[in-house]
Amino acid sequence: MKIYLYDSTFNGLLSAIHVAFYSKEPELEIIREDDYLQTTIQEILYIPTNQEKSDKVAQAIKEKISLTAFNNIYYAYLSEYIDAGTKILAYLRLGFKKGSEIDCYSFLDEVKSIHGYRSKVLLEKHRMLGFVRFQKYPDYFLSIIEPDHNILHLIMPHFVARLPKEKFIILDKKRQLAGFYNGDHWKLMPLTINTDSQAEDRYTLLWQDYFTTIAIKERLNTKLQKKFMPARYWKYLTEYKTKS
Amino acid sequence: MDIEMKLKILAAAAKYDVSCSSSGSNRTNSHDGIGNASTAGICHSFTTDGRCISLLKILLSNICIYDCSYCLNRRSNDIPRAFFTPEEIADISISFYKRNYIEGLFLSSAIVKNSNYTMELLLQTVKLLRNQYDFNGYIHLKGIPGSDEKLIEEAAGLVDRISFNIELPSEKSLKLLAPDKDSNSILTPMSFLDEQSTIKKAERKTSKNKGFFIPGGQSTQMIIGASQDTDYQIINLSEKLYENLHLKRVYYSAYVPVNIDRNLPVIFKPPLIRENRLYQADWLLRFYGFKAKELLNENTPNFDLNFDPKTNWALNNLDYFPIEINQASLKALLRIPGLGLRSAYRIIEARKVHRLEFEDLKKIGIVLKRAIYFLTCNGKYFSEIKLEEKSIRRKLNPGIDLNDFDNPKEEQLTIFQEKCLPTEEFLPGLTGEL
Repeated sequence: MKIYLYDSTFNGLLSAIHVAFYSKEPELEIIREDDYLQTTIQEILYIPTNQEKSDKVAQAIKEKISLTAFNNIYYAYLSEYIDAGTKILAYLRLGFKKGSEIDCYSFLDEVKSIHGYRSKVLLEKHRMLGFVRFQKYPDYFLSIIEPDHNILHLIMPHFVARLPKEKFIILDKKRQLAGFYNGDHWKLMPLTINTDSQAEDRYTLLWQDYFTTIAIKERLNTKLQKKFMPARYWKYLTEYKTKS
Repeated sequence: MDIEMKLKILAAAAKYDVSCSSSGSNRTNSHDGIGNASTAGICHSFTTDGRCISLLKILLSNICIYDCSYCLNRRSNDIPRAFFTPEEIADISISFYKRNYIEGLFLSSAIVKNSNYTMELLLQTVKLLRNQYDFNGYIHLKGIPGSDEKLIEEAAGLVDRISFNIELPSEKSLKLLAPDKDSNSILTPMSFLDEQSTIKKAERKTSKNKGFFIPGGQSTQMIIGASQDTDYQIINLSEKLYENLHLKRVYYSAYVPVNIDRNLPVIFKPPLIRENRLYQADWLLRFYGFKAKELLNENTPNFDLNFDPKTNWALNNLDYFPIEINQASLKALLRIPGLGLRSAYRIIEARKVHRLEFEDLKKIGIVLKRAIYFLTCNGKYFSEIKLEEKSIRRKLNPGIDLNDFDNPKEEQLTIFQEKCLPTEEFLPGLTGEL
């Protein structure tokens, strides 16, 4: 088994796919270099990112398969599952054979996996539009999140459209990546914050009271609550911060 | 009284209104305003009862001139009363919105002094938010029955959704439990808004007036289990509301026994399974092409709670089955118990390129627990039991009688407690989408 490593960027992945298509290698894994754990048995090849190759692959997918398929692999890539690169390659290999009907083949593993990863990313993106909590600081708002998937840049435009006059930062603590909005435009930048402690004001407390008050105790159903709002997201929810 | 106390009182007073949806509106933000609406709606949190929090749901006031038996805020109850000013509501809404706690505001009120006085205060609050704060997030406003059409029309031009709550599905129940209300005072403004929406829609096509007029439409709520009304009466009414008044949603709220009243039934817990069955039936009416009269009739006016309404229908119409997965139309696929819209679409997609084998159904994520008794795949029937009412009933029976479980008599309470059956086992996740 041969392993291709790429630099974790989407262009890097597409470059690796380009090489894979010309290599005729039957069994091949494509893995982000950050995810790779060295063993002696495997043969590895580091694929440098090449914009030209990447563009060619993107173009080919859009023309010979479909735009949907291109979006599917992009979302699957954002899932950051360790096998996402390998699964994307399998999906594309089939895609170039089947063409635009590829997504009808949901009974085949190659397609089912990619649809599954896409759904997880889109579900988390949608959930985060609701679960982001901003803390008020004198000059800006700050939100800390730790999403499973790399979705920060997908949610930034939503908040920019809603709060055009505010300055805010959304920090993906897991990836040490922050989306900055300065009241005019937004960009992604690396950022590390060590503390989890967050600002508190009267609205924090009002919200906590509201959250407790609005539940109907005769209908208690915490299992259902956790199904819709998994406990892993509670860490940064203002309503679950203990009152100081 | 401080804001903290007011919020506690006026949120507690609003919590039995189940609707919290923020969907259906596509309002966009102005250049430097605050907020917009997301067509699909967004849930911001979930309370310990599993319900979604999307909007800040509060009453402007719980000081009521009415005395409805089922209502916590009725005049004759000795409870703390409070009153928000429009400024206070706007401040909390905007502050919560900026912190992304909420999608917007769901504002309702008890009837203070009289209908118009109350409606004017609600309208004043909405105007403050829209005009002073330039707030473009979601606003769901409760309409006050009996208020002037002018006020209602003006409000509809500012908010995303208006709802008048029917609460009780028959005139008889209204007379008994809400003697101050009558069905005309509720249905007339609903019908008025429906007509206005049609007119405004036509105007938008011809003129340049792109103003919004309740883009999220109308909804309503019915209380389940506070009156003797049957499921048949309820879903018949829902069907009419959808067809004639074009409502976006009808909500069903299991009655929580908040008051003791000789006109109210004695119940020990809210009938949550019945509520869930009604939601399932509501989905069948809206998305599955069912008619109310197919699901229930005067001889069988209530659902057998042991089975979902589609399974109930299928068991009474077995000659319709089995349905061949590889040939059936979308409409026919949707008749198969346990097979939802998403599954039906997946089958249709996959059929374009491949004749489906039974194993493929599992692979594309079809849940076969109920469906297996009602379908064939390439002409073959895969269930180990016959397509026969008695056998299927036995297989799909939940094990205990949910009709008793949902509405226990006093002597049954301890039995059910000993069995330790949590209601949630029988409640699939509809509640979150409310």
